[in-house]
Amino acid sequence: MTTVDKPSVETLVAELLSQQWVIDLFTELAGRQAQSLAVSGLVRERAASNHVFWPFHAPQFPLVVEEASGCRITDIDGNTYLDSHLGFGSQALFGHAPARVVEFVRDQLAITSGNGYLNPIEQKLVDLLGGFLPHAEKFAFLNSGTDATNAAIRLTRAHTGKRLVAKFEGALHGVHDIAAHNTAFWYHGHPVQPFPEIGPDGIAPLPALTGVAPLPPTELLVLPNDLDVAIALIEKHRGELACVLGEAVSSSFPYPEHTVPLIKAVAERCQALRVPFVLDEVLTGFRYGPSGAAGYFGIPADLYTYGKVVTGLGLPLSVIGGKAEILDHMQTSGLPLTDLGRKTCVQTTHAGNHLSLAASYASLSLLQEAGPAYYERTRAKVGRVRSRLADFRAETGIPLRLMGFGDFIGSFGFVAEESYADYREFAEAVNPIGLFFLTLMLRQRGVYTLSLPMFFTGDAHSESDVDELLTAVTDSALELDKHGFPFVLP
Amino acid sequence: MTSMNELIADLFSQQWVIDLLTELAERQRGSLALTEQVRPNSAGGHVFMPFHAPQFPLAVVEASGSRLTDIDGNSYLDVHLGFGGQSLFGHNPPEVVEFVRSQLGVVNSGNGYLNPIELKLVEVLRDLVPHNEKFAFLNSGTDATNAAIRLARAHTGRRLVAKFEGCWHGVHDIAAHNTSFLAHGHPRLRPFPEISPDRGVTPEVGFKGAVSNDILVLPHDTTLALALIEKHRDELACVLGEVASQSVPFTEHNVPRILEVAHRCKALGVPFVLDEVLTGFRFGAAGAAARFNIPTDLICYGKVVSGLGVGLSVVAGRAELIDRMQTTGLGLGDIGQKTFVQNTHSGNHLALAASYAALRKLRDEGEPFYDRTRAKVHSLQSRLAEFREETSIPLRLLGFGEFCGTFGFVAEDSYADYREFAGAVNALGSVMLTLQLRRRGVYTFSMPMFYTGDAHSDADIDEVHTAVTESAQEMEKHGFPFVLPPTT
Repeated sequence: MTTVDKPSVETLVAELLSQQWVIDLFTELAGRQAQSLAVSGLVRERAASNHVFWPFHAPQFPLVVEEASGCRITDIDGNTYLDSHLGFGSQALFGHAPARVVEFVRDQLAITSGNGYLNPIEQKLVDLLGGFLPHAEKFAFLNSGTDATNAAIRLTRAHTGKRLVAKFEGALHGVHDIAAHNTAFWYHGHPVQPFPEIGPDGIAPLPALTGVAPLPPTELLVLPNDLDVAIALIEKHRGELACVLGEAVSSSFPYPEHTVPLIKAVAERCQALRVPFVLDEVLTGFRYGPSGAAGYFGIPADLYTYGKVVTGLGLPLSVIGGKAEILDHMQTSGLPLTDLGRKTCVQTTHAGNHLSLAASYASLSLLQEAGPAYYERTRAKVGRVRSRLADFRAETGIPLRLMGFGDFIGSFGFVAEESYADYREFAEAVNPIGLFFLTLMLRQRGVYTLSLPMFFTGDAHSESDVDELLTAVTDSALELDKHGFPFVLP
Repeated sequence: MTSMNELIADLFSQQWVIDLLTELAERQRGSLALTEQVRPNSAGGHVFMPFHAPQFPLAVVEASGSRLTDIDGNSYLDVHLGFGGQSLFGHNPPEVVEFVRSQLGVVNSGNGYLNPIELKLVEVLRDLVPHNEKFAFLNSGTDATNAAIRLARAHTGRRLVAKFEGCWHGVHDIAAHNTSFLAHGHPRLRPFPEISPDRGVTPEVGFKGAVSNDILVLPHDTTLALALIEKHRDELACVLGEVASQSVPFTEHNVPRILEVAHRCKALGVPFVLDEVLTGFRFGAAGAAARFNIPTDLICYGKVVSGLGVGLSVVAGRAELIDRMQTTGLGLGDIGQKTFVQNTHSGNHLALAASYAALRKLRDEGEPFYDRTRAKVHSLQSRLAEFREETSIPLRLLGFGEFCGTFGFVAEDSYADYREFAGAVNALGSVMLTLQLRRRGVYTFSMPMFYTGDAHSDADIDEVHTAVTESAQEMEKHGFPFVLPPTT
């Protein structure tokens, strides 16, 4: 295993930060974002949770946003940006505040019932979801993607009476204790911090988050992104497994050509072994067509989890769908006495509240109306970006690529190869300093992303928006090249 | 177990009960049809929550102040108020609705950005709960208690979490243990677990599929609880406590205990987490922590901290602990140093806006809000005392924090012992009272909860009083057993 020498990255950063062009960039951003910096400084002292203060992602020059419409955001200093981040992709279907979603939610305001009652919208939303996701028999509404994967674990444990959960190395399933293990490489600092050993019982459980102790092998089995090894481990532990958790493709390993065949084979083997398989579609749901990766690739699962674009206007809503016999573990039998010892509880006071249901229903209704043409438009835009970048690479030799999937969830970045078959090899190829600089140079050019040069799209961006983005990203790369930026790390 | 089942079977074969159920089934025809349509397709709604299992769930099409209109056109006085989530000002207070409406449209930045409203909300919180240095916004009370545990573990490097028997801290794995007696069937269907002086109360899972790790369950006995905390002081990441909950509603007994435990934790250097999901902004605007002067490291808020039912919770307290979830400012510096409890939509713009508008209104109302609420509850409780005197029906309004409570039938005014109280609660009485209230146009969910604040006018309170006393009298007329025979 090769590791990058830690001091060398730090030396590189220190060296870069002393260069005049970097000082100029920082000075310019600090000047144009003066009020954002002042307000975020005040908030930072008193409130820890805002996305601009997230650990591990650590955005530089956080933006305070006052207006957001379509793909345009306006900050508190009056700067306007083309937004390619779109709320971690949550607003990527139609951009910020789609008029009809706003109207629908506005109509519900002052009338409907908050939380804790049955609202007729729930049935409408369920009907809509049933149409999109015919592979799910039943649904439940929670607040976050983390809630959904956590509930899936609880439900499969309740269903099987077993406690071992298997997850893949590098897969991002949220922030709960199981998800905190062997998650995306950047949380762990891999490969500067060496990857854990792959032993006969999988990869040693390694939490990335403080406050989480490594789970015992009776509770967590970490699978490598290697089909034969993963399947052998699942077979070996079939008698102990409550579930296997997987995603079709992940932002930490964005190559569906490698990950989809692996996850599909694993899902099929789980089905044969009668081990519940949970497909995490928080990122891929309603991408790859309205039925998500499950429908597009035919991946069989017992439970599916949805987040991100399943909701509207940024309101919290997540969905867990799948087999009724598993979801029924969280639903009352109808009488409290018969629930005792038989049921589990994963619901919370405000989960499935009326405004979240309304926003989700209105947004997904728009997606339904848009039909297959929506996905064709998106694919065409992304296809154009990719071919323009291929031309750019051929002309300049700069390894600027758009890595992504699901038409479209992705990130711009500098990596030498078109595709990586090995997760750990990809982690080593990523140039985090390049991502950092590209984010800030895009900001300078009026394109907003949070802390990584993410690109989420859909109907949020027009053709000319995409052109604007392309110009900004290629100009940024050219400027980096001009200053001798090391695109590919040794 | 048989005796309880026999009691139920006997009750449900009586004509007056059959008549009641028939009447409700008739007037809620549309609600029942919709419920049956949703039930096979959707498991998550509150009307399908396990252990609470409301009978005759209501589909609500309109909610304003203290009034609900169901899909059949019936109107109800609501004393449930969204699990108390709407109990400050009732449903859809115009000022909150207007403010949220003004934030919809192009000014809505959704999730994932810093919106200037966050700073305004922080300023209101600083005014209302000044004992907290720093705040973090999450979605649910469960998120908040779970995050508090994670932060305390990150801060101390220790694992063990202590909680009190019977306290409801949400639905995560630790909260799933030895929670409200109702979720376990204690004591009539299943005896309480053993209490050992070394290991505390034997951990017991209430929610199937939850995993038991690193948990110490404390009994409601101050001496024993303190001895257990001292014994495990070097393993404890935190002690989680609350001053009152529906299953532990007697503050006269709980507050002195929690106060002593919190002080001892402070002396021992064990972080103490006060769960104020239920009590926050009750007991006066600053909550139980300030009212009773409880020293804490972290405090969790939920329920009324949010507005319009949009999910928002808060974990707050010492900056030193809260900072474990905030970036150092550089990604590289966070690795191995930080934890992560936030999620994509937590602290979204509209949730912050609704919370800000509701709490700003609470701040503006000031102390008179609490005076009014106290007066209403006092009037209700004193009228119930007279009713008991006149009728000998043990109808009581148990509750705290002016006001989160439940109507019910228990022999005594107060119970010093949690397990004894659990044995005294007549769950069947709760179910029947809920349905009798429904018939009289008063809505509660599955138990005769009573949350109030400015949600209810004095006339509303009179209406509740009439409905609850008439219900009790009708039950008495049919020979309903208000006090169950003691468990052996």
